[in-house]
Amino acid sequence: MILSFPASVNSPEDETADAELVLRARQGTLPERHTAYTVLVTRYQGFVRSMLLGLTRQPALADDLTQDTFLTAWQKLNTLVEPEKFGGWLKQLAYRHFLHNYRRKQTEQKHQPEAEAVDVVADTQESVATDAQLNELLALCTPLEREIMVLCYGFEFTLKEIADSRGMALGTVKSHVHRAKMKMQKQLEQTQTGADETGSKNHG
Amino acid sequence: MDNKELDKVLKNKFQSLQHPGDDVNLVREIMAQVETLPQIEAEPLGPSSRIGLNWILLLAVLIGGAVFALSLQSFPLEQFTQLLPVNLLGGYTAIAAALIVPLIAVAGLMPVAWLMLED
Repeated sequence: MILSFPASVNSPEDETADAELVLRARQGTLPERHTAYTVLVTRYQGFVRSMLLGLTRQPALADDLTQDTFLTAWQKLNTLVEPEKFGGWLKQLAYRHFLHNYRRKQTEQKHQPEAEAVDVVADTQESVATDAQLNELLALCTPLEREIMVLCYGFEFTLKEIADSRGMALGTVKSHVHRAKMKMQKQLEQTQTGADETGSKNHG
Repeated sequence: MDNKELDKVLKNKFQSLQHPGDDVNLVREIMAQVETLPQIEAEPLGPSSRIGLNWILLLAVLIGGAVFALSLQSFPLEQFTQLLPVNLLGGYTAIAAALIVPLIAVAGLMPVAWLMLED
């Protein structure tokens, strides 16, 4: 699977560089390991944070989860069997951190009085995309639909990856995607019709 | 708008999520925390190396079993089998199986145990 990583890591040479950096971050002296890992963090922090921001829609939480993801990645670097797949592994790790945080908040909310309940699901009105229409489309979806659509269309997760991480049946994930797409399609068509009508009035 | 067209439009729209507009640099904070963590241990053998070792072990067990079976030819099995209600071939088979089968089973279970530990 080709990930939409930063341009600097899209070529095969750069994938090799990833593998080399992972190996250097595992072996050698501690400063050498840190130097190699700093390059990896620099390379992937934007991608990971964007993904987590798309999922949480809360910049501060996205920053915290990004830091946690990279700390866990550092601690578990030795368990990565295929170093050239560091990016994909990191992406999965970030999603697991998001899910862990989401479930923890859900549990906390169950044990809190209603008045003190925290928002498990982020404010749907908060914009995270630079594309205004995408924010409108995302606001139409349920939190779960939004999560799946962001991962699937924005960060190229496969439906199976989402189903496995979520512990859901593949068919259920497909249903959510279908429902979200129907809502988005309706909205897009309405916008298109509105734009066409405005255009024809202007011409008239 | 058909499904293919919709997919294309959505993919284009969702691309903007990868550029949220507020470039945040977390490298310094992340590395400051990484540096406070205990030093990661030396790289352990990966599952593939373990499985490789396992095959070597299995081969060693098989060779050992073969050597053992050959050495039985000089063992006074005739006298031994007279004490048991089995014939000569049965005696060889029983002794070999009793020693080799558990070793093969242990060797065979090692990759499974490794994978379980990995999880």
